[in-house]
Amino acid sequence: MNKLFCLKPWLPLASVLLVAALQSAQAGTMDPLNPAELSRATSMATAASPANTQRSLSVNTTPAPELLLVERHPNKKGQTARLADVYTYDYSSNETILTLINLDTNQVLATQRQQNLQLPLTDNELRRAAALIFADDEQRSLLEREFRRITGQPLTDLYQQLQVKAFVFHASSLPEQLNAASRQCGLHRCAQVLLYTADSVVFEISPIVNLSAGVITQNIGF
Amino acid sequence: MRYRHTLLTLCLLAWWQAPVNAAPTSTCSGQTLSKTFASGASWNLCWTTRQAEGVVLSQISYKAPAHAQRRVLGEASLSQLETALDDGSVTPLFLTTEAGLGGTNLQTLPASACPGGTLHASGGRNVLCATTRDHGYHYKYTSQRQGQLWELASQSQIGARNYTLRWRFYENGTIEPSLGLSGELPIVNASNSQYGWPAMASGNIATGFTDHALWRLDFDLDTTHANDMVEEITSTPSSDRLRKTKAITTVGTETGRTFDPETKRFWRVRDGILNNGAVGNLSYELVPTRYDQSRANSANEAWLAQDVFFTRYNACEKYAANNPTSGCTGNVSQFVNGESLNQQDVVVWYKQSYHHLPRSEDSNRIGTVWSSFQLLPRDWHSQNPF
Repeated sequence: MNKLFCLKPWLPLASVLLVAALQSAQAGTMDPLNPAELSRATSMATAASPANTQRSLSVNTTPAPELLLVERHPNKKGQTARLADVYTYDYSSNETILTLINLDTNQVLATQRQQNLQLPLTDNELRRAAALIFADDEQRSLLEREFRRITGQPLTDLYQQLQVKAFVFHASSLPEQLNAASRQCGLHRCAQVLLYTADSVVFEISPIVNLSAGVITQNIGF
Repeated sequence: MRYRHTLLTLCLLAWWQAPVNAAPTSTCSGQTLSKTFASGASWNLCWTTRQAEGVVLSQISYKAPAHAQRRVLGEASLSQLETALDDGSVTPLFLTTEAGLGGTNLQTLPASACPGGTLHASGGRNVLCATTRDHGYHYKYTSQRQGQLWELASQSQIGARNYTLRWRFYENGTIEPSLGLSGELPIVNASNSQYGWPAMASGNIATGFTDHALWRLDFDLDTTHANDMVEEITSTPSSDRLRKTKAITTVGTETGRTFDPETKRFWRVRDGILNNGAVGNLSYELVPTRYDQSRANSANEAWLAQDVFFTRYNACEKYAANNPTSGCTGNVSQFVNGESLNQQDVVVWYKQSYHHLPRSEDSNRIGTVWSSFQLLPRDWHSQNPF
């Protein structure tokens, strides 16, 4: 159906009804949450668990709570209430906060804090992990050496010449290879960082970044 | 005026639901998709994307030519994927819950990634490729029939790995979930050669690794989800091995089970009441493949200790491992807690492990390796509907 055909004759009425339509079109359905619902769930979760919201300018201090994920909470079968799970990481206490929200009634149904639950890193956290590595003189010289080994070229622009990917890192399964700072990973929120050249050749060193403590704890060699 | 209101509502709905192929229903999670073959056989399902599992299918129903449409699965997903390097240099990673097959790891597909197929969008990006293919003989005897399948595929890139999540829906009612592995090889220093294969052009050792895929299959046979049953079927050889004796036992409570080549053990999920109009109860059976590698469990994890788990549906039991413990336990071995499965809402958790020891041809693009299994109709019809 052509959007212009639909909306043009009805524009004044449509604009009035649009918000209501957006809210009601999916009521009673199993559809994923729409952008307005995601935003509403996020605000309600933030209000329900106020934590240290002062965002620090320095990468080395405790960061503000990080919004990890908002998604539809699975319904019991036969039920269609629009429920949201909001996952936030509280760096000041190293807890993942899970807030369950009923978007039909605008109620916070439950809030739970859990340690050792690490959801995927956000883009913001990935950027911070990269910034911590790039700001570290020892890491930087390692990266320069590795880049020259792979490409034969000097590393002059970290952000242009390197690709950075990272995953949540847990200490639990290789305790014997880790130093004391890495052993906190899992309880702390840590990233294992993979570095690549711009044309996707992977580095043979992989830094572990403890995002809770704001430090690079060690490098793991492949 | 009434007409005008209806038109306006339709327009608004059409605009808001622009990427949706059909009007939402109270049970459809996401968008609907369907395929009707020339024979009249058809598949209907819903699909959505989630950060952890990537593409998730629901309300999957099948209709054979000149038969009624019946639901098979309420929801189906790859509920966990763990990868572990042979040398233990990198901690095993839960790719589903710690990296995510969805979100930004779910790849936007160009037309070249979907030759002959149709791209479908979620969140404004083309992420799902639907293709119809010929699969060869459906049967062959004095007469023959060539069959077709309908394939839904998405791509997730996590670090140096690329995973294809592929669902094949055969014209004859068979469902084939598959995971394709590709990407770049991980490498170690040459001193660690016992953990890998000298497969890199650089002379470096490419480390072996094991992927554990755990599929979550929420069976909701036909209209009622709460009256399904699990049966275990064995064919045990006699001592002289000249006969095999069939035995059927009802799996009465939640449990984890393993394959047994000696007794050809397998399982089916059947409706507690409905039959096919003749003697058989409507059911789907689990057909495993390549379970020679299913004993891999280096860290001795309880959730890897069995090939298949059967549990009663619980909405917060989402991931086979690393499941958030708000209201539920942490992994599928703990989901098994003595609840009855007799005339209940059954969830099957099927594990498929694959060990990859690289070869030179994997340098430096791993040749795509498929791991798959099938869900096969057993007495869904009273005879071959084709």
